Amino acid sequence: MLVHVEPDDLAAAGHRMSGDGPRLRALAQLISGCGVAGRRACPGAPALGQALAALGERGSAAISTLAVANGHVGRGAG
Amino acid sequence: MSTRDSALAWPPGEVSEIDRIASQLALVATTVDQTVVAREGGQGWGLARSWSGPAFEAARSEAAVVASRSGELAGTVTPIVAGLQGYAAALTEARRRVTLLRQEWDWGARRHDEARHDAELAGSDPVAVALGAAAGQRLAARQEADRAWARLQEDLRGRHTAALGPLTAAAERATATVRGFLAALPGDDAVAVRGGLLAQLPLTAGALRLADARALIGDLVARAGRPVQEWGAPEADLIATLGDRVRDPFVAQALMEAIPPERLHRIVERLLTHIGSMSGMGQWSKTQFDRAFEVLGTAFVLMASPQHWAGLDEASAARMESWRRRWCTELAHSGSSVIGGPRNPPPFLGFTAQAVLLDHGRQAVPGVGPGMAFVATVGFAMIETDRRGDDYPPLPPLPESFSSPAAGIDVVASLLRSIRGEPDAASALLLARLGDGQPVVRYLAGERLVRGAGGPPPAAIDALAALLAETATGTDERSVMIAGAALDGFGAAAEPPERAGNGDAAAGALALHGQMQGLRFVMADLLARHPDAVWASLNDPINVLAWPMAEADGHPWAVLGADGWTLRLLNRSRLAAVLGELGKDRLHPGTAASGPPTAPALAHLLNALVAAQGVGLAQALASGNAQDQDAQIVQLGQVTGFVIEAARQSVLTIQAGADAEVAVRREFVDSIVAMVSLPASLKASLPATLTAPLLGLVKAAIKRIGYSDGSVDSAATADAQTAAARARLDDDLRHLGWDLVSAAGWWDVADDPVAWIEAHPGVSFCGEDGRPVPVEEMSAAQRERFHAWTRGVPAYTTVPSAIVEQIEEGARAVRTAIAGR
Repeated sequence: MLVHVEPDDLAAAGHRMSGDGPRLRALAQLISGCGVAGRRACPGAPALGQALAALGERGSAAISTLAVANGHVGRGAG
Repeated sequence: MSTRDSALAWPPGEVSEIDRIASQLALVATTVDQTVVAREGGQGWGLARSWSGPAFEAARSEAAVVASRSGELAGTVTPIVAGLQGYAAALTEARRRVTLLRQEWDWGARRHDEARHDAELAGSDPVAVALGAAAGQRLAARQEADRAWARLQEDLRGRHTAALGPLTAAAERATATVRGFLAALPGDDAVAVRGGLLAQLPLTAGALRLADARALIGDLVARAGRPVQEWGAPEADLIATLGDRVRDPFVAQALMEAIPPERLHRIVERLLTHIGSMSGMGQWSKTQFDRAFEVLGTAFVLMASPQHWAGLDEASAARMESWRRRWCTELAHSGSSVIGGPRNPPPFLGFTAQAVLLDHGRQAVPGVGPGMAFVATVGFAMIETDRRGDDYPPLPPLPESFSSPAAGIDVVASLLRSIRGEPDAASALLLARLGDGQPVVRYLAGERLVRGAGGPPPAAIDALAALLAETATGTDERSVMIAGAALDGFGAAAEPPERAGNGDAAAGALALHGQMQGLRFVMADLLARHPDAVWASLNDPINVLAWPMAEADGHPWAVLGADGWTLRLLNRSRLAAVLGELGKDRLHPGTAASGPPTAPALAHLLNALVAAQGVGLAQALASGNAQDQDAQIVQLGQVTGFVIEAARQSVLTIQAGADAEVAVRREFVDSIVAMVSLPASLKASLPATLTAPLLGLVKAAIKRIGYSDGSVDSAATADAQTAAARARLDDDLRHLGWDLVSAAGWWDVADDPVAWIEAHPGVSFCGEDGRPVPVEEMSAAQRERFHAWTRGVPAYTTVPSAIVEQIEEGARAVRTAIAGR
């Protein structure tokens, strides 16, 4: 039988996933650093350098957003 | 740069750095989709067995999106790792080959130098010198050395280009993989990517919006420089800076979280106190905090109105609703507490502050009212506190003086105004049972008016009348329950002052007159929608004194009749009390009526009653059933007589001056007569020849009862008026009764008028339908022959007299009911 439980009441049960958010935020920082380093590391391939810079910027935004989503959904799901 | 380095350029790049990037991206690729949410994707959650509903489904859907996007991210990063590793390897290989090429270049250069040196040596050979060939040999050898060197350089350049080819290709492959990753993202920059992802993740977007809203309010609180519990007038401008941002439900919630109910009440009280302390400084002082009140009121009303939380994902809405329920409970618990220190009455309660916010919120966001949960908890507590308290009626604000910030604020009025347009919430509130067992609507339409007797018309009345029009005019059980309770409370409140022999009756009626006015028409309308209730009460053989106690928790004033739900009044006394109040609609006590007709409430009810009775009478007359015909005549006469006499008695009670009485009464009666008219829809459904007689009959009866009571008039005036009135009425009633019988064809076959005309040659008094035309349309000759014919038809004698008799019977019932109170 299904029992309705308020989402807020489940917040405390979310610790099981509490480490995922910080890990993803670390990954976002990591990929951002890749973007910065990429342009410097590939002077012989400027197109690649530019692409890596964009990867760092946008990839970081994507992963940090997923980090928030993981944390939020995780808190709700326990 | 040397010629060699220029010719054999060194491939630039940081292989170790590229390797490090590749390894970091590899870590991203292998980790980003390994979170619990991404792995499970909302499936198999530990609490899924105990969590159900929209919020869970939304969260599971959100998790599925997170899993999908995480997987896509990992899938598009992995090729980049390989691409960068390939590029690093190609760079290493290119450098190795360039190194070798440069070595060859160096070797070739040395060889070239040696060849040139050998050429010089050959030029100094003694034999060649002797032969005169030395110069030629030297030149030839030198040229050969130079050509060989040039060939080698060309070869090395070509091989250098070839050596860099794989590197370029590797760079292009790596670039393509990165572009593949970028193409999979929902945007061309970081902001667009974030926005695009959040568009797919409404739950997360909601959480972020709430976080942003809390940050906004947190900044506001920080800027205030002192705790919220100390806020007052100095913070008004700061609060106002939120402006329209507070229309965002997340911002509204964050603001109400930061200012819990008790502190909110205190802030409102301080602002109003501040305004009061500046009462002599003109309009500016009264409106100086309007923008702050607008912000607070908007947040308050929005949080009370889940139906207006637009743009929320289901999970955010569920989370906000959960918070709201706790908030409403706090509002209800803290609402009855007195805010601020001792001061002049009335006390400023938490509910007073909430009423102020409801009013400002209603003006700021029109059409947004509190929802069911707010009304059921806070709204009910407001009414109950009003009933239990002794600070009603509220004192009107005194100009240029300030007694209490609560002066002039009617919490109930604000509450009722706020739920206009929300019939479900309003119905729930109106039917809620107060501590004494009566429904809220009965208290508001009755007891509360009595408590305010002698005071100005209560501010809540207009809102209550509008709510009744929205909630009590239907034919469903809920609507009828509300209508019945309202009429019962209204009638109960009106009964005591009408008691015969009560010396204070006129004073009591006068004290209540203004209180009742705002409800008179809507009460008439409610009763008009159930015309059967008038006859049922009038004809009730039991005529109980009180509702059965066993039904105290029910709604005995709503019953399921043969034609659906209808209402009941307690007894004839209560019916007479209600009718009496309707008769005083727009009456100005102490002055004769003038100008436009008064008593539209009573006319409205009479029209409905006549219409209902007319349908029954038409059916009975058409049926030819003598018993039905008699019953309908009795019903029509008694109902009409009861209504008019009840109204007349009430008006006479409230009019203290005997001199003005006759004129007042005549105007009153004439105004009712003038406003009695059948609705067009009913006219269409009744036989045309029946409509005019029926209406004329009622009008004549109204005039007769209204003019002829000599017990009240001075004798001379009454005699003259009643004699004239009776002479007219007798004639009118006789004609109208005749027309009624003619229209119904109420005679035996042997008395058929067409047959009689054939048997007695002469002018015909019948129309094309074979029935007599209306008396007023007859010529003298027709009327003479018509009278000759009617002498043999009993109905032409019995019907008019029966109607008159029953009208008087109805009037007597009123007098008996009032005397029995």
